[in-house]
Amino acid sequence: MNVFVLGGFLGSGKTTILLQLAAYLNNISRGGQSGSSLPRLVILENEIGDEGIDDKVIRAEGYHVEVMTVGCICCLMLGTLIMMVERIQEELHPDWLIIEATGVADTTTIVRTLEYRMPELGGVSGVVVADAERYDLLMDNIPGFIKGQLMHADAIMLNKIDLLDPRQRKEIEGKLDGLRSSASLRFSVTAVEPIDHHVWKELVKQNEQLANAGF
Amino acid sequence: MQDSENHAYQSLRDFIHVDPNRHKEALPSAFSKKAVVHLKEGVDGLELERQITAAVVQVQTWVAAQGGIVGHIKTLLDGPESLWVSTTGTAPSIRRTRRPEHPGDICFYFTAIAVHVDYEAFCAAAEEAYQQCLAACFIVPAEPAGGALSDV
Repeated sequence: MNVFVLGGFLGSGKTTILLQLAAYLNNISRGGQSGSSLPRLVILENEIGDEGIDDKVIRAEGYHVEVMTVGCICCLMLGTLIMMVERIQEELHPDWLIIEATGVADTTTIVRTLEYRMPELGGVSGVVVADAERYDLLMDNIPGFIKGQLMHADAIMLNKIDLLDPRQRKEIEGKLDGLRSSASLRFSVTAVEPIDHHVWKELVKQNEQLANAGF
Repeated sequence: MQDSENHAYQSLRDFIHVDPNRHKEALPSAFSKKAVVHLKEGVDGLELERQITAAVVQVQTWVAAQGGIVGHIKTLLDGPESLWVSTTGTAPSIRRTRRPEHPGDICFYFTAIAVHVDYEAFCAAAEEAYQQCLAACFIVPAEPAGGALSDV
C-alpha cells in the first residue's frame, strides 16, 4: 500500500486537490484491476471538530472514506492513526491510501511516523498545499507554522494561482522555491480546474522512488 | 511512542526536529455543530442561501474584527438538494448539488475554525450565528442529533 499524506493550511484547497489526485489514482489502479470488490483507493479524513463536512463531499464522489474526527492526527491521535492505517491495510489492502490531514497538522510528523512504525508500507510521501492567495498573510501571521509545513514536504502544490497576477505569482513562487527542500517538487495549480496529468504522474513517480529508497 | 511525544519525534530518515512551538503558533479554535432539521414553511432556496451566507459572513466579520485569521468556515445543508456555503475569509463560495437518492434526514452542518482568536469568544460568536440561522430557516426536532463544541 502506497500512501500520500496531504497537508496544508486550513482553506488552502486540500480537499479539492484530493479529489483530483483520487480520480487519477483510481484510474491507474483500475488498470490493474483484479476484479475484487474491495476499493483500490481508500481516503482517510482527519477533521477538527465533531462534525466533519469534507468526508461527505468525498463520499458523494463515490470514494471509500474512513474518518477520524475531533483531534489532529499529528499531535493527539498518532497512535489511533497507526491502528487505522494497519486496519485499512489488513482488511481492505488497497493499492493507495490518501490521508488528508487537518489544516493545522504537521505533515512531516505523520509521514515520518508512518515510515518508522510501518516499514512494510510502500512509498509514503507528504504533499502540502500552499494557498497562493493568502501566502503573504499566513507567512506574516504564523510564519513558523507555515514554514514548518512547507520546508520538509516531498511536494508542494501552490494552489489558487488564478487569483494572482503574473508578477505576484512569480514573486510567491520565488519565495516558495527559496524555502522548500531542493529534493521536493513544486507545482503551481488552480485546483478548481482540471490539473494536468503530468503533475499526478510526477507525484506517483516520486512516491515509487521513496518506496524504492526504503526507510 | 506515546501520542503526546510526537512533536519532539525525530525521524531516522533525516533527523528532522519538529519544533513543539510550531503547532502552538497556529492553535485553532474550532466550532462544529450539526442538527437534523426540517425546512420552515415558506423558506425557499434563495432565502436559505441568503440566511446561511449571512451566518458565514457574520462569523468571518467577527474574526476579522478580532484580528484573527479565518481557517475556514464551512456549512452544508445535506439533503436531496445540498447547499454548501464556505469561505476562507474572502467572498463566500456557494455551491448546490442534487442528490435525489439521498436516503435520510436533512442535516445542517456548521463548522468554523480560526486562529489567533479567543476560543470561548469565538465559539460564542459562531454559536450565535448558527442559532440565528437555525431560527430563521429551520424547525429543529426536540432532540437534535449530535452537536458539540470542540477545541483542539
